[in-house]
Amino acid sequence: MILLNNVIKNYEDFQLNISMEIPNGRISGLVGKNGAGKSTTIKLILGLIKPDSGNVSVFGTESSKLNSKEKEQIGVSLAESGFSSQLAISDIECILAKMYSNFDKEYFRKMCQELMLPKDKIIREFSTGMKAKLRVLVAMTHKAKLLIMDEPTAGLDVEARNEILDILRNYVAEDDDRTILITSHISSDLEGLCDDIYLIHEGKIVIHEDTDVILEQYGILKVNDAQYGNIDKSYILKSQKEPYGYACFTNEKKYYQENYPDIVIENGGIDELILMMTGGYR
Amino acid sequence: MAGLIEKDMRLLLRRKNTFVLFLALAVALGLTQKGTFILGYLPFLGMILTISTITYDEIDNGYRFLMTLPVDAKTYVKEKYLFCISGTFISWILAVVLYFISGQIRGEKIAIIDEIPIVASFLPAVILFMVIMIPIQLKFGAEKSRIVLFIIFGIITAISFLFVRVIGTEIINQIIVKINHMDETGIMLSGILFAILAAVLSYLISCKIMQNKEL
Repeated sequence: MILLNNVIKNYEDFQLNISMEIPNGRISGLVGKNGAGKSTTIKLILGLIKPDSGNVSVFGTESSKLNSKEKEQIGVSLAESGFSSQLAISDIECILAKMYSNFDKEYFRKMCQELMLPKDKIIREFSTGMKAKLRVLVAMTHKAKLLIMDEPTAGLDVEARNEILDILRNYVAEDDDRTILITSHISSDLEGLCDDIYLIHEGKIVIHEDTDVILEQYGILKVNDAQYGNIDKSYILKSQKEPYGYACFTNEKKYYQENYPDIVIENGGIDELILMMTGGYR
Repeated sequence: MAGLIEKDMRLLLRRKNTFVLFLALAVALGLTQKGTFILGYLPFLGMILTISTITYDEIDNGYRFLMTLPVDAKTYVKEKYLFCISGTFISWILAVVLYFISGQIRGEKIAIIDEIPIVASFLPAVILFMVIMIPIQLKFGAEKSRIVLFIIFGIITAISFLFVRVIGTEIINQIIVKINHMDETGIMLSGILFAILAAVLSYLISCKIMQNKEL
């Protein structure tokens, strides 16, 4: 579905250098700190920017050469970008109806009611949550095979975030073949939604792992200096000096639980993954 | 393309108060002012209103989102030229109607056939201005394009001044006399042809600008 092959994109003070492959029917999460390269990756996939080298393809077509038929199969929600804030939902409904042959007017209207989005108010007067809901809804009302969501839950309260995540879950549940690529800062959103996670740091993919594996097998060993000297470090991905000794990030939590029962081992989540692998764990 | 036209129409309709105000002003001016003022005013207004949709597209990273919809850069540019030229053309038609009606009201004897070259010359003039503005706005955005336009017209003025200084006012006067003696229909047709060529060139430049734009 999406393929990035040895893609390099250079900016004055930043280089993105990644390879990714997202197959059909997969919900993939792209996580990383601000400025890690998440939005640049999304822009490359959408053909909004061109790589300096390497290939980016979607549905087997080079992303910058996607035709309108192929683009109809993609639904996009971008952070801080959408229809003009001078328009109202009633306008957007008519525009989408002319833009997409598969636009589902009934679904759009039903969802607007469910999400309490007013039809005739202009978007400029919407709250942050309403704008975010609308961006997600616009991406989903033409039965797209691929959804690309850049920070769809950023800046929202828990209730609004859960509403958006529920919409996405239902969207995938309707058709197993649908694929989603989602970026987010909020790990709990991704833990409950994504099949796999890509961690991007300083323009490179540093880890790609199934979400279940991260939650079940990754962990943080908290060891003192003596314990650190004695443990087998074969499965330690990264260690960090701490006041009590060392925090060691592992992808084989069970191995250490079985072989070193005295060691304190905390479960690893996506937050820990980001913090440990990007050097900011506390 | 249909979706983009729908978007631009709706953006214009969202400003219907401004639209109605300008239109009322145009009718009032058209009916009260003598001469050809309305023939320049109304098409220019139509051009400004339709070009303003580019500004709305640009605000809040709008281009980025628009290019994720089932349209490409070339279709976007094509729609924009079609929309702006159509808007200018419709407002020019309205201006022509007002011009003749006001003449009738004032009891002036207007020979429509004789007036055609003058009336028609306003449309290519406004379109020429429009096809200069569109690529500049696409390239530099609404804010910077004003400065760029100012610089461009400043350069044109400076070049014209130098041109006059170099070849002398006598030759310029001779050229003006020759133009005055030229057939009006010929001038009108040359103007239309020049505007068409400029529009094609401008469209091709705008396509390149949008295709190379990093969003």
